[in-house]
Amino acid sequence: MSVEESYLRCTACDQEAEHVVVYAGRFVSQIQCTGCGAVTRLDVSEDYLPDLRQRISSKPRRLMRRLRRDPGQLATSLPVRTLSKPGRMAQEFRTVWRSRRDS
Amino acid sequence: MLAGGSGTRVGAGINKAFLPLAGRSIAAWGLNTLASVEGVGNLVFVVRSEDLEHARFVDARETDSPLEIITGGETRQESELLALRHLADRIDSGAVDTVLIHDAARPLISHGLASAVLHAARETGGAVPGIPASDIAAAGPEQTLATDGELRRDALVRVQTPQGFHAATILDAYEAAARDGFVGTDTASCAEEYTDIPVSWVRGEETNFKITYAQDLLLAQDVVSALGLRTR
Repeated sequence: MSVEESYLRCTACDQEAEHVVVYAGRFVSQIQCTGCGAVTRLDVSEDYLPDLRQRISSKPRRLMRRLRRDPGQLATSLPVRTLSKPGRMAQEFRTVWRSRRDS
Repeated sequence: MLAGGSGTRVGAGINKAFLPLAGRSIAAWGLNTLASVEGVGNLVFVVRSEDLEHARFVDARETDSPLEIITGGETRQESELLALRHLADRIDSGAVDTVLIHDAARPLISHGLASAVLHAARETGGAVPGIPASDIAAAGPEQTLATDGELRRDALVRVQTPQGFHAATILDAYEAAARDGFVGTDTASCAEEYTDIPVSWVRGEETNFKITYAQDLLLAQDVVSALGLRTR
């Protein structure tokens, strides 16, 4: 799961305001306008598993690409990213489950 | 590719051009499409100084072709001028004959549309994508529709990007506009004011919409899924 904030126009209040965008894997699962509080939730559970399969199958290719482009950066970031992966995946599953429950 | 003015507000989080969309940033989708078009060589990515780190990430991790990242100006037009000046030597030498200027916030530009604009720009000197705006009506007084207007609905198009122009001509136009303090709404308006280029239009695409509303992000996500577009 990741959370980003960005300035977008709100469909509810029609004002430009900071929006909090929640991602479950590669999918937007929730958007909240910090101006008026309007929340849009999306159930991404059906699309999530096929996408996760695609992410897993393309991982070796993506790692090779990074290795070719910047081996030093990959070498320094990979251990930390590998160790934190289970925790990040657990958080991602929770977000997907929440998107199914709340939508 | 212009990402200078996308989502620019003091205190805002990330520039919307760098929001993830189906696995890579909004800007990276357009950059990769443009890079795949035959005839497109250099990709100049114009960003705010505070977005340089994001832009370098896009260059290193999300695009296959190398980007030339430069810092933009205060306005869209200034950013365009800086991009053209960045290419000036290559424009003068003839290495760059045509430029395509595209909004980073339009991630779903298709390969076919970018090719069509480039081809038309090379043919006529200037080309933009447009969608016939048959649903536009003229507003009259007190929230009524005008009845006696001269509005010809078949003569209106909603203009999109990328906008393509003969490079040397548009560089001269932007330099002249800068000297005069002229500020246009887009590349085509500057071309109209300062050149004799007949700007043609090619049919744009509804999927080439600009991410403006928060829900546009969800729509773009659906389009990526529906069209089977994939992040490598």
